[in-house]
Amino acid sequence: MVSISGEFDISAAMDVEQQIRPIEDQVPVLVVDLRAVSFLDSSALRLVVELDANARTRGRRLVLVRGPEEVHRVFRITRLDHQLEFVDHPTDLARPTRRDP
Amino acid sequence: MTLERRLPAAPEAASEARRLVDKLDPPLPPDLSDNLRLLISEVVTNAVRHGPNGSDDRIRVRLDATDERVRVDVLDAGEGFVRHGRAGAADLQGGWGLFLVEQLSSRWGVEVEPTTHVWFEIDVSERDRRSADDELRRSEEHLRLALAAGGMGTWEWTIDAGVVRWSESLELIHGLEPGTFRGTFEAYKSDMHPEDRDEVVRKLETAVKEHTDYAAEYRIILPNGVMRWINARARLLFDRSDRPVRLVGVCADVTADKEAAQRLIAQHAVARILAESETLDEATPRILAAIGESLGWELGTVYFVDRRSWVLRCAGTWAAIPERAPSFLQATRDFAPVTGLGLPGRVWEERRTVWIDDVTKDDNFPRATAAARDDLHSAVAFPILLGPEVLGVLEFFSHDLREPDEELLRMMSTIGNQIGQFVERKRVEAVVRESEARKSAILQSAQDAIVSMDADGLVVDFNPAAEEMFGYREPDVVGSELASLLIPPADRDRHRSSLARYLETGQSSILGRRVELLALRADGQELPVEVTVTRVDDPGQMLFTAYIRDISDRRRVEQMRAQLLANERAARAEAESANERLSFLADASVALASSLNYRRTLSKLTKLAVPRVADWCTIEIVEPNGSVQSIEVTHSDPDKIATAKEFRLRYPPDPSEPGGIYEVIRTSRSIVYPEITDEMLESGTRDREQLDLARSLGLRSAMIVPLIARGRSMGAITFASAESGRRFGDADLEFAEDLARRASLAIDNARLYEERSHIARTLQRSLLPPELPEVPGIELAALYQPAAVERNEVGGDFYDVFEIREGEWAIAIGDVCGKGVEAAALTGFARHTLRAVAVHQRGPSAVLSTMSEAMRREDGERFSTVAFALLESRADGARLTVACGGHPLPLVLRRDGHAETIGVPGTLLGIFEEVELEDRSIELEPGDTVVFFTDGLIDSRRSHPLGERGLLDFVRTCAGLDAHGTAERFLEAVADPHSEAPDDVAIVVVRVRP
Repeated sequence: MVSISGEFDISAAMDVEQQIRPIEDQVPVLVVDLRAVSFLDSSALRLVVELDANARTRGRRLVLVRGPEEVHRVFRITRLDHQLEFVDHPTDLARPTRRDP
Repeated sequence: MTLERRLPAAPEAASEARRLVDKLDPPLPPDLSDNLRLLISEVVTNAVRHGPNGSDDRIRVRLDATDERVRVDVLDAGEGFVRHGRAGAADLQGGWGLFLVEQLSSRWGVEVEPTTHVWFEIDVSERDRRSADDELRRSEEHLRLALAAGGMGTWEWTIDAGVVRWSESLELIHGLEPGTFRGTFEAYKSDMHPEDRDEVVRKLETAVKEHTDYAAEYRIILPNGVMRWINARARLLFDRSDRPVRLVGVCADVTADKEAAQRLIAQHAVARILAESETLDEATPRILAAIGESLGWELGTVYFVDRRSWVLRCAGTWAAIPERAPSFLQATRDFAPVTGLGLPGRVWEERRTVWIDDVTKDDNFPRATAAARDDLHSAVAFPILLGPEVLGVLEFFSHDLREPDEELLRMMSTIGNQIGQFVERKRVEAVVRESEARKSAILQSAQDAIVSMDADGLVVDFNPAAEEMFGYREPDVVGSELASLLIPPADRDRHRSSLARYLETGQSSILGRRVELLALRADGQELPVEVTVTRVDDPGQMLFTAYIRDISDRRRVEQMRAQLLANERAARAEAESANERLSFLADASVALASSLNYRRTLSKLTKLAVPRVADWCTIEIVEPNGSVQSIEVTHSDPDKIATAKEFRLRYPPDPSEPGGIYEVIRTSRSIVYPEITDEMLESGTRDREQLDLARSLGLRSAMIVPLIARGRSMGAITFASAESGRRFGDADLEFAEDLARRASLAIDNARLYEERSHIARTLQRSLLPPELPEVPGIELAALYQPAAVERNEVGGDFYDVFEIREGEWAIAIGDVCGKGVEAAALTGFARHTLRAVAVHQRGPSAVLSTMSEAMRREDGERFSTVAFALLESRADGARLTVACGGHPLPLVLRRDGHAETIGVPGTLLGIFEEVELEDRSIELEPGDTVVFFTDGLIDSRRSHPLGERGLLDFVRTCAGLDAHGTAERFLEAVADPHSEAPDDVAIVVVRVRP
């Protein structure tokens, strides 16, 4: 599981990407915890969507732990809350909330 | 308050820009400042990504807040927000950044000179754009009343005074409050659609000038922007001196009818386009134009799913007048939405047709700005569905405001499904085409001369070996009469009359037998040949195929034999065995050619070989998945066969061991063991038990010969001697290889044939609806049995069950005459046309009549028979209305055991201009059953034919069974695996739940 804290913008996205790439393919379920994120913009969206697409084509899962309202709002406005898999708590993995496309 | 900074062009600039927001005094409300922070981050990030980012480069950020709004300006030296064809992930970021700015700001813009300057503004006091407009709602209410009242209004135009009076209902039709019409001709004109105005005015003026009646059809635009169609008629009133003084008229709102007519045109056009097109790429631009033009939508677009990046990509656009929508067309071409984003994304996610009243006011429409610029408003989009999978999306846009229309949405869903089925059909056709290509490759490479002929006696196929044998080139003989080319003059008439007799009576003295006769070469020489003729039909064509062997050599050998007989015994024995081999080969060839079931064929082959040629014969085949299967083991003593099989099971040959089956298959070279010694057995077995078992088989000599077709090893035949003590030598090997060659060819042909049968059946099945829908209170069952296994023709039967509207269901069953791919295509057309027509026509006979006309236009040479029924649910039971077009009448079995047919036979469909069809209705009660079937069921050529009386008796025996049980019972009654079933059978059973 990868936890992100603070502001998830272009700088943070570059760091997160560097940390996640090496381990991306090694786990069947990659959990990204957004609960400590205070800000999130389209740089983060772009990274998350790419991780999700990679996961799908390789038969893995990407699960995001929902962040605070001002963060989750951005996913809602762009309708990505329907496409990506979100849980309220990391232990909720067994019950995915997303519909398959 | 104004804040300005010059930030280094690096990622940190984004967070520094966000901090500026916190410095605003007085601070903004939290929602607004969150949005501001997000958008400033987007715009600055954009500048960092797309602008120059050297160590000296700077990004200028300006934040200016007033009481009304906050404005942000960001300047850099690079390109702006608008993407310039960068591929890959950069697109996505540009996509969402743009989307967020569009959604959350009140205004935004990009200037590119002198440097890239992106700005946006957020109004501090945001009004909700979607707050209720009372006046608008009230006029919509009035409109609804007008439509409910029959939608007609009257008017009067006093020509001299130029005064126009409207009835209240006409005001309502035009969306006006009663009493508000201004009463002038100008006012009347101003409601008309700008494109129709001139024509209407011209018609009015003509009517007045030439003293004729007036009639016109035109569009009006209501105050709320919605468009409607009006049909207007008026008469002139004259004074005593015959001068026109007044025009008195009636207007009707015909929007519904107009749209219905347009929809029918659109659907027919789409069905025709799909029938004529080879590929989806060819069909989609034509479909966009057909729907756009017939329904009056000004712009159409199509997207396909890109499976690798999982977005929709625009594959084409159509515009009635491209110059009217340049920005939107451009925005659309660049648009690559993910699931749920924008109109196409929504259709993709929800898998259904979506309507938007006004895209410029929709909250999930990223192209809104471009749409507003080009004045596009209403939109509808639907998915191309193949089962549950979305293959693509089509969208249509209009400059007018329209109202959603259930019928239109339904039609579009239907078209989406039709296109999906078209894709599926093309896939299957491609497979069939490929197998046809392979078949012709076989003909080219076969070593035997193969000539085939059609029912008219004309040459169809003539392979290279035949070219060599007869001295003709293929193009010179195809299409000419076989008898006049290849048969000596004295025998030609006999050949022709024998063909005629076969066509008439089905009897032949030649089919399936080996026959010796004289053939004729191109140079006039007569050639003794041995011929085996079989009937192997192509789709839609009866074909006779002859395998021809030049036996002049054999004749010569026979003469030699007679010679040698007069000489020594050893020579005689040699000649005998040669003759024996040749006659065996001939018998074998007949066996090989007589059946296209290759396992049966090989079984015959081995039984011929044992004991004439060897004591043991086994055949192994390489399966498509690469494994080697033993498919035949023969010996004259069945007990020994069991032993051999056991041996093989317990000690399967080792693929890596030299000298066995695997080596022969791998190298395509034969191996002979003239003598099998005990030492060889010992070294070849692992333990005592295996050795004993091997010894008990008593093998003395063996040959393993590869089966090769088209240059590839397909398997191997093993001949072994035991009790007879024979030793195999060179001559034996040569003979075995010849046999193996012929067997390979037969096996390959047979496999191909089986594949084609499978393909043909798959094609047939793809034309059947995959599952029956759920109808409340009703049990449904459908079963289908294709014609017997030996044939690979595709039948023309079809059935369909679908919902027309709430509580009304359609049941269709039919038979398109003929076989083959053309008939199959027409069957598909018939089914789709029925679905389209059923929604518009009331009553089964009207539906069939319209369908017949459509089919007659499509292919007037083939007729069809169809039984079509309308099932309406009732409180307890249902009402069934049936019309039949030349089709066997459905059977009704009542709960009390009474049985009858329902309906009137009616004319055949698809060939006559006039058809006679009648509706018949019955009330169905719980427990009643109705059986629909095709005429394969009662075909008298089956071994158990069922006439009408027989059918009624038979259906009574189904009393008490549920729908599925009844269908199965019927199918069993006609199942007969050994008969030559000439036609396929489809059965649909409908039962009201008891």
